[in-house]
Amino acid sequence: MMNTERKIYFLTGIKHSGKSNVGRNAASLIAREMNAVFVDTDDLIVQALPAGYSCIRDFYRREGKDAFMDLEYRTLKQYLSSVKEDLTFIIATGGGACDNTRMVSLMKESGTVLYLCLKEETLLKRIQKKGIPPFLDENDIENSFHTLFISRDREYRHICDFVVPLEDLKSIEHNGQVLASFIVHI
Amino acid sequence: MPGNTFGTSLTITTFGESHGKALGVIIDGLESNFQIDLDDLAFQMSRRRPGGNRLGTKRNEKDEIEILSGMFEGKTTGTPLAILIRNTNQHSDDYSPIADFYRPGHADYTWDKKFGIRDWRGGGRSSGRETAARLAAGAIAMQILRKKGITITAYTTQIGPIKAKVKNLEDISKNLVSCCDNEQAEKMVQLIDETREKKDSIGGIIECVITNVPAGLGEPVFQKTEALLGQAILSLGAVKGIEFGEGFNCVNFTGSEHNDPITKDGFETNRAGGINGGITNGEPIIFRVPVKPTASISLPQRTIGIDGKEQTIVVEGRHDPCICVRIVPVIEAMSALTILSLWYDQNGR
Ligand SMILES: Cc1cc2nc3c(=O)[nH]c(=O)nc-3n(C[C@H](O)[C@H](O)[C@H](O)COP(=O)(O)O)c2cc1C
Repeated sequence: MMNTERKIYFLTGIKHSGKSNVGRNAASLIAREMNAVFVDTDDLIVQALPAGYSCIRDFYRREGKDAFMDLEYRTLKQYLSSVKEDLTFIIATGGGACDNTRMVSLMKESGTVLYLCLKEETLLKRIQKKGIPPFLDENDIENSFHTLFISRDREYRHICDFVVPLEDLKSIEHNGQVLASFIVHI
Repeated sequence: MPGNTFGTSLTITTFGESHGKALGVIIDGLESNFQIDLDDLAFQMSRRRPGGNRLGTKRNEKDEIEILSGMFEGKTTGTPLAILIRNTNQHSDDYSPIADFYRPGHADYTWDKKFGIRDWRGGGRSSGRETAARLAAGAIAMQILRKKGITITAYTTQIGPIKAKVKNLEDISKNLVSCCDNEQAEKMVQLIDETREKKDSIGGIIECVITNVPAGLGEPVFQKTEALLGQAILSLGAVKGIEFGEGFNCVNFTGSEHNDPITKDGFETNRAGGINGGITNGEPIIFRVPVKPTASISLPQRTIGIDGKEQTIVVEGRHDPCICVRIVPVIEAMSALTILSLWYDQNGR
């Protein structure tokens, strides 16, 4: 099937909600039907990092949140202005995207914002398995994550165009299918 | 017994489907010589009507009622009172693809399994529209109870995560969500609007208070007041539970904290919610009801077709993002039918 217009879907959600894995999987499924491209904003930011920073975390730690959000915004803006093709773009964003108001406006005006929504317990389990990120309190992970989850979940529900509920204990392939069929039908 | 009749001394039997010719109710066991207030009846019907409130569906149903029997010169005769509500607004075309698949959250799948045939138009008899008939019956019961001094008031206390912070019964009629807290109601309205834009739906909690109920209503053991109110309320689609007084929260008390002390002037507290041992104790009856998010949404959903094949569906149409607003009068109506029936059990009609 030929694409007749450019469609951009932004995947948002709390850390470990599957924006990259599930998003990439969904894009490959959609690509069977029409031309679809998957982009991870983290990859774009890594390429755009100024010299002297080893990784995103290094930049964030040394320059602070505002500088990071500015970089995040400018990187996405530049990418969006560079795309010209009429394709379906699936763009995974960072876990803190909801705090970046300029980026939220940019996403809203350029495409459809999807919130990949998972249960708090599921995300907590994934975080415990994959390593505690610096923004959580090591000594009280459950409570600090609970506070973060409540505020982020509310924020993402608010800023998104649609909520995509993903199943907790299903594989990346399963959730990829769910997301792909959601995107195709919305 | 087939499941279309409810009540003890007073019974209602409802019939009809959402997109059939008509629906209606037969009320049997009413007292005679009661002057029915037809204006009040029409007003009560308008409260449930879709399109009666900006937040509801845009579907406009008229809900005009015809009383076919049981009334003479405006008064009840004590014989079966039959009410007919003709379906005038049947856009069953809006729903035509749903004949081929089962909508998640609806009764499509289970009713098909049970009966092997279903009137898929607008959900048939599992539709919220069936409650129009109960509302008509309940509105008459409510008028009779009012004359006996009993009042029934239901209101929204929560929509999604937003809770009422105060209980001002004067506020109920002043906002679009029948909430007892005008200030929080504004946030609830905003949330419902936002949810509609996202093509999704949301649920909530309704509380109901019945005041001036005399002590002594309720028939042990299978027709205890809680059991009968439970049946009445749980028979409504989208209702997922009921709790009386402190309800599920009772586990957070010890016995010494939870017992309502009795004095010469009555009970000091009302944690029981007006009922002990299944019999009313003279305190207000209080119960709460969780209402699920509307099953009909226009987001893509996964389901199977009647051929058993998995598919993703999108049910376009005029969906109501929150049932709470329209269910409030129906909860009052079912409560009225229950309490009047128990009143007749105890006192005769
Ligand atoms: C007053 C009232 C209005 C309702 N309106 C709707 C509606 O607009 N859309 C919908 O999907 N369900 C509506 N329902 C709920 C359905 O009847 C019910 O959710 C569905 O049949 C299955 O849910 P259950 O498993 O809780 O019975 C309504 C229910 C009531 C009592």
